[in-house]
Amino acid sequence: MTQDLYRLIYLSRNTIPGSNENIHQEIEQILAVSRQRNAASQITGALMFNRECFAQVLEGAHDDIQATFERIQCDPRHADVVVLDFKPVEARRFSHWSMGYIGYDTLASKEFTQIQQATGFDAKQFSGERIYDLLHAHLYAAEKAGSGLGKIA
Amino acid sequence: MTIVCDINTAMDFSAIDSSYGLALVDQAGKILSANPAFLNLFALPPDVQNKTFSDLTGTMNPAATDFLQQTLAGRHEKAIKQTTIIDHKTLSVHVIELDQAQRLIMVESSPSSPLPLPEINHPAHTPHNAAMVNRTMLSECIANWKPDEPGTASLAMIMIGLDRFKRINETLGHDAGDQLLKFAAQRLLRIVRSDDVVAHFSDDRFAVLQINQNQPVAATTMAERISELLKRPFLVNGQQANISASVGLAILHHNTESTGDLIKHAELALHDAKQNARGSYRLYEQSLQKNASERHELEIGLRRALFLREFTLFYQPQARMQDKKIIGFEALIRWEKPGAGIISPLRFIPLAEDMGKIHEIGQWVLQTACRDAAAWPEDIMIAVNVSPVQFESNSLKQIVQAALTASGLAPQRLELEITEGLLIKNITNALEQLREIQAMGVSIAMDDFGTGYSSLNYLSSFPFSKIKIDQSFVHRMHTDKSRTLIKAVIALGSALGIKTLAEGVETEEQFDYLARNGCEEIQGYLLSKPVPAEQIRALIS
Repeated sequence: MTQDLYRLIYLSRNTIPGSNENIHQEIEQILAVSRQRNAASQITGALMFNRECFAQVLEGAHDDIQATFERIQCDPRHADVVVLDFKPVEARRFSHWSMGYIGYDTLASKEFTQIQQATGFDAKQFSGERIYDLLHAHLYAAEKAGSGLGKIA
Repeated sequence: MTIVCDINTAMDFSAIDSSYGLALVDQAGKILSANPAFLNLFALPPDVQNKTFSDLTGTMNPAATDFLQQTLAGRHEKAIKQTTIIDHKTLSVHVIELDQAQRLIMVESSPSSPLPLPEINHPAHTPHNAAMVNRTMLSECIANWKPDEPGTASLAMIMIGLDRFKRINETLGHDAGDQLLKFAAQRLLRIVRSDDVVAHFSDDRFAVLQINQNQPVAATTMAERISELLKRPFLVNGQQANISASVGLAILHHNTESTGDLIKHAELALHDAKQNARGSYRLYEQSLQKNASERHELEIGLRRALFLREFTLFYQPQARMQDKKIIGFEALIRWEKPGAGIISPLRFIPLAEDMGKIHEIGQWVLQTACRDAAAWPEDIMIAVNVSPVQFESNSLKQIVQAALTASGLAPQRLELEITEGLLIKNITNALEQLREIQAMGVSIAMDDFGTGYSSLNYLSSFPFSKIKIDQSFVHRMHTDKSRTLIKAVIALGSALGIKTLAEGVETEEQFDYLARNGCEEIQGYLLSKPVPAEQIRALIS
């Protein structure tokens, strides 16, 4: 089972202090590191950020996701990690991106915030599927529109 | 060490021939310049200019990349000092903010690590190359410790106990449990300082020893970080697993004066943290030792109390409301411990449950109560308390049956009092045992109703013979809230066809109120305090 394809969706709370500029730089660094590492361990996925929270999807072999997740868990730049979904999947849906990114001034991020408000910021009520679809739809839309994918939005 | 360089002009470090590694990085962590020693210490290629450490991931030891990235991440500090072990070299790294845009990294290699750690083959391999030691090595580290300078000497033991770890083993399997332990170990190794000693202490316990750090701040900060980190979900065998960690701290010169007591005190503190609030941390204090000693003494006493016949049963009458006629007695255990007097069941029953001694004690209580009751008139019932733990052995039915047979008491005269706590854990099994016992003719009463996790569900899940209203409600009957609750429980009982008995009735006023509201039976000092078996005849005649 260790090489089976799995998908992980989780939410966490941002703990990066300081100005937008500072948060921006930290995220740039997170993305740079994760893209490099993910490419090496054949992990694909996407990250969404709305100032308050991170939502991330990771796809890859079970053990690679495990190892990646453990590294993410020890990162002090976030807290209150909630796993929404961890299950085997048939195929990757983010195969284009070692780590696609949807930033805080995008439409998707606004929708993310709306879901958050509608569920009273209760992570337990979040549906993994909803986050997943949101990320997927918006990354593809952005790709079609030719906007700088992979760049900080 | 003195480094003189004018930042504005000496942007090029490549000519600085020094044993110190020097590098200048910009705000985003891009290397502006580095000297040969820096490249050498981190085994970097010559062309590093304008690259970040993450760009260099492929070319250098990943442990070094991780370390430098993490160190630079603390960008809000004016000066950062870190130590790490990379490729068996101990590197001291200083990061100094020169101005808004530039930071200077200085690296110094010392020949050996500050505390030589034995290399062991543990699966937990980490970016810092820190190793897990075992319990013996941990004790050796403490024994060999020498204070740096007498004034600043400190040693802190952080004992970490994983909560609910047994449940992971039970529900997800031992393989998952082992994986989780491995990940927990890795998380610890990732966040400790390189001169901390991390040990796998026992099954679900880890220990971190902090050497000559600023205490108690360093230990409490680490304890908070650890409990936060281990609370985060784990992914094991295709599933997520959640645990928490309780932490006990013992710090030299903070209630612990001898290094030899550090482990013991940290364990006592951990025990206390687990008892009070899982997922919390607790610093050792003297009272913990005192409590532990008392508990230990009680435990020893409890082990021989049965054999030495130190237990006796007292009986408290239960009466009908309408004419105060005594219709039964509740058996109450008393323990008179030589030299210590009467020990309250509130103290020793939980301990007996913990020790597993409750099975023997419970059996003795049933046998004795049935035997005593067999000598009473046939219309007098006997009520016996049964602990939820007694259901765990799955042999309660046989024990009840044996007590009835040996005493010759009719099963219809025996009533077992259970508490809501029984139905919380493994309700299906508990109900099955209750049904079997009830099928023998024994009745089952719900005790202390309203004090636990009262759920209407529990009341309708089983044909209870009686609901006992807890004495705390009767004692607070002067408050509206208690009166409302009492009325509600009586109404509930009557709706479900279950009798209600009020405990702890002490005054006529309480009696009148209960009578007016339809309560059927009472127990309490108004009637009689608990009496020894010999005085029962006098009470019922």
